Formats: sequence, C-alpha cells, structure tokens
Amino acid sequence: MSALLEASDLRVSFGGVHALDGFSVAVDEGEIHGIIGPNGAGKTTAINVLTGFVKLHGGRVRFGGHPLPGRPHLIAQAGIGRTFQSSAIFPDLTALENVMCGGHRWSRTGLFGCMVRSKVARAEEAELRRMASVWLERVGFQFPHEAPVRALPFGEHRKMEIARALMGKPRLLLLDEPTAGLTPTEVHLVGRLLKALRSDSAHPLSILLVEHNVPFIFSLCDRVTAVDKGATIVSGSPAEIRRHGGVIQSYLGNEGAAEPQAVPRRGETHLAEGTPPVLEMRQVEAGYGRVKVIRGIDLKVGAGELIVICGRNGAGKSTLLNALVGQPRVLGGQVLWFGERIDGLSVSQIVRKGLALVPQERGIISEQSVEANLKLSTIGLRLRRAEYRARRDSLMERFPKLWERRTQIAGTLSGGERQMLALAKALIRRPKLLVLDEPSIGLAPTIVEALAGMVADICRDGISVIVAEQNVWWVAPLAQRAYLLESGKFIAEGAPEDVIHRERILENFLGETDTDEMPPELGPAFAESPGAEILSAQRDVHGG
Amino acid sequence: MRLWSRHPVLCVIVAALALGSLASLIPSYRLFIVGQLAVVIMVTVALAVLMGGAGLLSLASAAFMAVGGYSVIIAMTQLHLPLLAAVPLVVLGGAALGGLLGFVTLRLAGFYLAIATIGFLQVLLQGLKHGGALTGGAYGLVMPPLELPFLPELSVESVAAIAVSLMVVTVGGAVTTMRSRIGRAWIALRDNEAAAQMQGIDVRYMKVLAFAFTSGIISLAGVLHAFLLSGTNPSTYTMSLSIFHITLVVVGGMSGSILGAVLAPLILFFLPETFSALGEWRDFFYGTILLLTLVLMPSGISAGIRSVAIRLAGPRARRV
Ligand SMILES: Nc1ncnc2c1ncn2[C@@H]1O[C@H](COP(=O)(O)OP(=O)(O)OP(=O)(O)O)[C@@H](O)[C@H]1O
Ligand SMILES: [Mg+2]
Repeated sequence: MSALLEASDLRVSFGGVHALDGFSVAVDEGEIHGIIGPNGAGKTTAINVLTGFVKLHGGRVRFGGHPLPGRPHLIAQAGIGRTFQSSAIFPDLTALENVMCGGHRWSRTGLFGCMVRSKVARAEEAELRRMASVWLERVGFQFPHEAPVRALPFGEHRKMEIARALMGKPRLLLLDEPTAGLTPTEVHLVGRLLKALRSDSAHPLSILLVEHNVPFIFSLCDRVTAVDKGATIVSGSPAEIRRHGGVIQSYLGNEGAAEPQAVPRRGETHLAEGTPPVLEMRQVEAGYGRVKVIRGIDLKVGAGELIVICGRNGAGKSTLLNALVGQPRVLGGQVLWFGERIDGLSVSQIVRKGLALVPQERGIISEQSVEANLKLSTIGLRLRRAEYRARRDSLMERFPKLWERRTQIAGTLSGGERQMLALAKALIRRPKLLVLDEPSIGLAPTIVEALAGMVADICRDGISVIVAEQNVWWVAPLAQRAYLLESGKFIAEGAPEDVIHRERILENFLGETDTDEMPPELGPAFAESPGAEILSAQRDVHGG
Repeated sequence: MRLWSRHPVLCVIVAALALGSLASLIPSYRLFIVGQLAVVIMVTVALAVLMGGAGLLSLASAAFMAVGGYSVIIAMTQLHLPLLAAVPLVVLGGAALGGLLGFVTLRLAGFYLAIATIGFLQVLLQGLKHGGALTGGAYGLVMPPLELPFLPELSVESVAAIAVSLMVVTVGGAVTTMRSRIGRAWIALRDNEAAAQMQGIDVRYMKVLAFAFTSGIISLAGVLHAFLLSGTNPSTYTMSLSIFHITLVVVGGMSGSILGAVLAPLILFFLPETFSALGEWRDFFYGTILLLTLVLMPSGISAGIRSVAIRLAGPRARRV
C-alpha cells in the first residue's frame, strides 16, 4: 500500500535561512504520525508547505497519489485540514459559527440561496449547526456554544480549532501543537479523541501532528519523525525514536530518561520578618466589565522567591497575572509593592517600578526585528549603550538560537523562538519581579530544562518570579510555594508537592466517570467554591 | 423569530409592503427626504457588508451610485428599454462592474485598496464629465417620464415609497446573507485569511463576490436616487459623498452588523435633514452628533447597543 501523504526531500529557504533542507515524511492511511524537533527546526514550515502557504524550492509532495494543488483552499478541498500553532480563530463569530466555517468545504449554497434562505440553504445550515455542536462537544469545549470567543482561554481556542478542522471532514489532519496550553485531563481527552477518529470506519482519518509534549506523542503515535535544522533525522516507531542517540541529544535531553532529574535545587525562602515582601495581594478582585473573574486573592512574594500558580484552563490565572500590571484594573482589595500600594496605577507606571510580565500572547512587536524588539523593551530605562550591549550579550548567551536570528522580523520567528524573545525582552529590563504566563508552551524539552536553570539563576540573583503553568513538573521542584486556582479563588496553597497532588486529584476527579463523591482531599474551600458545582456538571457531560 | 428564520422572503415582502404603504401616508415634502433616507440606508448597508463584513475598504460608493443613475437613464432614453427591464439590467451591470473592480484590486488591502477605489471614482467622474451627449457633460442627464405597466406616470412620492420598500428588501437580504455560510466566510477571511483558506474558502472568489453583491445594491440605490432627483448631475457623485457613506458605516459599527448601518443614517442624515430650520447650524449639528456617538460608542452603534443588551439580558444576548 502506498502512503496517503508522501513528502520527500523538501527544501525551503527564506533569504539565507534554510528552514527546510531535506525534510521527508510519509503518512499512511489511518496512521497517527508525530513530528518532533527543536524550536526552529522547520516543523511549522513543513506544515505550511503541505498546505500551500509556503512555496517549495525543491522536493516533491504527493497526496493520495497526486501532486498537491497550488492554493491553500484547493488543498483544503482536496481533504487536508489543519490547525495553526498560534490561535487562528475568527474572534467576531461565536464558537459555534467558528466551527460551522469548517463546513464551508462541503456546503454548497450560493449567494442567492443564502439571501432568500432557500429550502436547500436551510437544510444545509441546520446540518452545519448540528455537526458543529457535535464536534464542540466531542473536543470537550467547556463554554456555551453561542459565547463570543475573543476572550476565551487559550486552551478553548485550541479545542475549537480542532473541532473546526474536523468539521471539514478531512482525510488528513495536520495539527501544529494541539495540546499547547491544555491541562493534563484535556490532553488526555484530545488523545482519546484522535485515537477514536483514526479508527472511525465510516470516515478514516490520518493525522500528522507536531508536538513538544513528548509523553503524549510517544503514547499516541504509530510512528514518529524527528527533525533538526530542516532535515529529517530519523523516522520510526516511538520506541526506536526514544533510543535514537541523535534525537536524545538534539531534542529530548533528560526527558528521554524516565523521570526528569538534574533539576537545580530550590533556594531558601526570603520572606524575612520586618521587611515588606516584594509583592503582596490582599483580597484582590478583578475582572472584565462587571464580571469578576478572580475574588479574594491573597498572595505574598518575598525577594528571590519562586511562586507557582496552577489551575485549569479558564480558572483565572491569566486574569490574575494581568491584573498585577493593571490590565484589567483591580476592582477590590489591595496590591502592595514593597509595602506601597500600586493598584490603581497605570500599566506603564507599574512596569517602570520593576514588574515584568511575559503575557500569554507574548507581547512582541511582529513588524520589528529581534534586535529592535530587545532595544525597544529597554526604553524608559535610559541605559547607556555599553550597558545595553552587556545585558544583551549576556542574555544571548542563554538564547544562542535567538542571536542567530537577530535581524529577522519577529513575526516570522518560529513559535518557540518567539517565546524566547518574549522572555529575553522581560529579562533585559532586569526586573525585581518577573511574571511568566505559561512560559513552557511551545518550547522543546531541552529548552524547558534550560528555562528551569535560568529561572533558578534569576531567583538566586534575588529576583522574584511568579509562574502560572499547566505543565508544572519543571518548576515545581524549584518553587517555594504553589497555589491552586479554581474558579477565580485559591483553593489550596502551600508546598508545591502538596498543591500539585491536590491538583492531580482534582484533575482525576474531573476525568473520572463513575464517582459522584467529591474527594475529601480537595478540602472544604473547594467544596464551597461555586466552581465545584460547575465542575461536577462538566464532568457529567464529558464522562457521558 | 421562528417565522423569520423559516420564511425570510415572506417576512421581507410583508414588511416591505407595509412600510412602503405607510411611507406613502407621509406628507409629500417629507416623503422626499424619507425616500432619500431609504437610498442612504441602502448604500450604508451595502458598505457595512463590504467593509465591516468582508473587511474591504472602498471609497467607490459614489461611483456606483453614478453608474446606477446614469446607466438607467441611458438604458431608457438611448436603448428605449422599459423601466422594468432597465432597472434589473442596471443592477446586474453594476454588480458586474463591481466584481471587475474587486478582481483587479485583489492584491490590495487596507488603505491601498481604498486609494485604488478613489482612482476608480475619479476616472469614472472624469468620464462622465467629458462623455459628451451620452452623459450630458457637466449638466448631467434628465430623467424621462417613469412609466410602469399600469401606472402611466410615476410621481416622486411613489418613487419614494418604492425606495422604502426596496430598502426593506435590501436590509432583509443583507441580514440573511451575513448570517449564512457566505457571510461567515466574509467575516472569516477578514479576521484571518490563512485560517479562512484552510476551511476551503476561496478567498479571491469571496472578495470578488463581496464587491459584486454590494455594488449591485449601491447601483440600485443610485437608480432610486436619480429617480428621486429626476436626473443626474456629475457634481453629486463626489468623493465627499463616498466619505459621508463611510462615516455612516463607521458610526454604525465595522463588525458586519446591519443594525448599526440602518440606525446611523437615521441619526446622521435624517435628524439633521428634518431640523432644516437649523439652517447654517446644520453642519455643526451633524458634527456634534458624529463626535458624540463616536465618543460614547467607540466601536459604533451596533457594539454600543450590544453591550447595553448584554447588561440588560446577560451574556445570552444574541449578536445584533
Ligand atoms: N518568513 C520567514 N523569514 C525568515 N525566516 C523564517 C521565516 N519563517 C520561518 N523562518 C525561520 O525558519 C525556521 C523554521 O521555523 P518553523 O516555524 O518551521 O520552526 P518550528 O520547527 O515550527 O519551531 P517551533 O517548535 O518553535 O514552533 C526558524 O528558524 C524561523 O525563524
Ligand atoms: Mg512551529
């Protein structure tokens, strides 16, 4: 049997950069095929080639035995669906309408039929609506289907995009980091969904997915292709790839070993008596418009401390972090910065005090070069040129890949490179408190390890760090304290191990199907929170 | 609501007849302004679809009004076509020309597209001014008597009432289209072209279609406009007219919502016109309302209404 998709020896270069340089992959009918590789290896570029967004400079692609059509929409019509690495939603449509767009490929009503809403148009519209809501349910979308999607959590966007791609009834589905930003339960759900789709006999589907979530990809895929510097290193079963020396060296790092180890040790607590903490939140409330997303938040951060905030998608983590820098405004309670109130100050005033946020949307200036981005973020510090150079050079030692790309326009960086740039932009300001919103999304395992080392170094220099994460394993061993956020409230705080244990229980509770009892370990704070009810309702939907 | 989603055609016809006959009760000096209001609403609704819906900036609305006005007179006087044949032909011709404009400007977006449409408007205007006997030069053309099969001479008042009915039809058609797969495709390609393409949406075709659809409507509005004024005058179809239309769309809201496009002309055209006693203060009045609406509702009337609706009815309020 010949492969459904066969790409051999693909070559693409942007200016002097060889983004693809001998990339090959073959996907069989009904196969789940994974692609792994370091940041900037060319994975997204490969998907862009396969969907007609980037022109090939060499190599050959065959899909179902034929060459690919030239333009993206024709490729989509030929049966290739995809999702994008960074959210590519239609923010002015509802979730349901977003997914309904995915059915454009097979719906046929013309302009006149749409205008007079002919019988055929009505039938088609009803079918689109029905299928869209079925898909939204199946991917585990947690919000009302008629909800405006602009402000939904990142993870919901991902799920909605998968639903939208499936709506087009593709033969081959290309997923670019589908689980980035999802909680373990949701990742599990997506994995189960993909497996079910593959074996759906009525409509066989092959899947090619790019992921940095190594356990996920190894447990899910039939075969895995590893790439580095634009070229395929090796292609084979997960077991073969896991053992492959080149892959371990270039990509997996310690992740190849069973347990993450060799992580730096946690530092001492610096919440000294007498001196005020770097940051203190007292009964803080914040939200959008009249809706309060977070309530009654108490938090203290000492000098050089590392704090982890974990919690589900949509629990309010991003709102909490953004409220720290004054966007959205704090509606109630107090935020103290070295004992002095800063709630009510403008974003720029807060930032100038030495608080640096790396937001989930990354806040880089896409039209400017990497170097210009760095320089722009030091505006207001009035650094002398030598000082700027020194800071830049020391940062670039940490991010050698970024330095290679210093003249590139930031918008064209790979997902992981963009992430590094966002971090570098925050670090070059030498803040007193660094706030990271899901920093590990889209980073290769080796880079996540480097990030852990970096965060440890930063804390050792006396800088405090707050990290909000789904994927806590890399920071937990470093952190002094962890908080579990649920429905806008802290329902647990304390030693990271304990809090994460609670989170696991909560997650399992959500993932399980056959208990109704709330596990007692979740504690009274959780049982009282309004989230408890919502969660058990959701659990029923997903379990059933 | 159910009836509307099941039988929109029926609803629109009933509403068009009802509003049309209601309009004919209005005293005739007022009816003229109401007719003009209907024309302005038609243009604004069309542009709301093109700019708000498909995200294509165009300053060519005056041009397509001219196309409608001039060609309907030419069709009736030079080609001797009856009114009922001339109008559909003109609308189709306007749509075709719009499609062509959309096609040749496919590679442009944003301000570049807007500037290109200004070029189109200027070329057309010069053509009309120097078109000799065909276009009547600087004086324009005079409307022949309007004859329908059973109505020997159509008065300006009945034209105004008909304009109101056709406005209702336009609004209905725009609403159903925006809430269909085609309207969603327009919004999708406006928001994220790459993602739209991956849904199998032929972005080029959809852009050309948006231009054709809206140019057809604007041409029809141009026909009615010429009927109301009993002729065409090249100095009507200027860039300031296009800018006025765009102002209305922006005030209404650039989200592809039709409601704002109906309300904005009421506030910014009808109100100042009805208070004609304002005299010289009319422009001052217009400017003040313009500023006020934009300051109070920075994303346009439709977004403003929506946030009020959400406040009253909770987040379940539907998109308007
Ligand atoms: N338009 C462009 N101009 C210049 N360089 C580009 C352009 N697009 C991509 N690149 C470069 O090509 C390389 C491959 O990028 P690509 O996005 O395919 O990486 P990736 O494997 O998806 O990485 P990640 O895991 O970080 O998402 C990167 O180094 C990127 O900076
Ligand atoms: Mg990528």
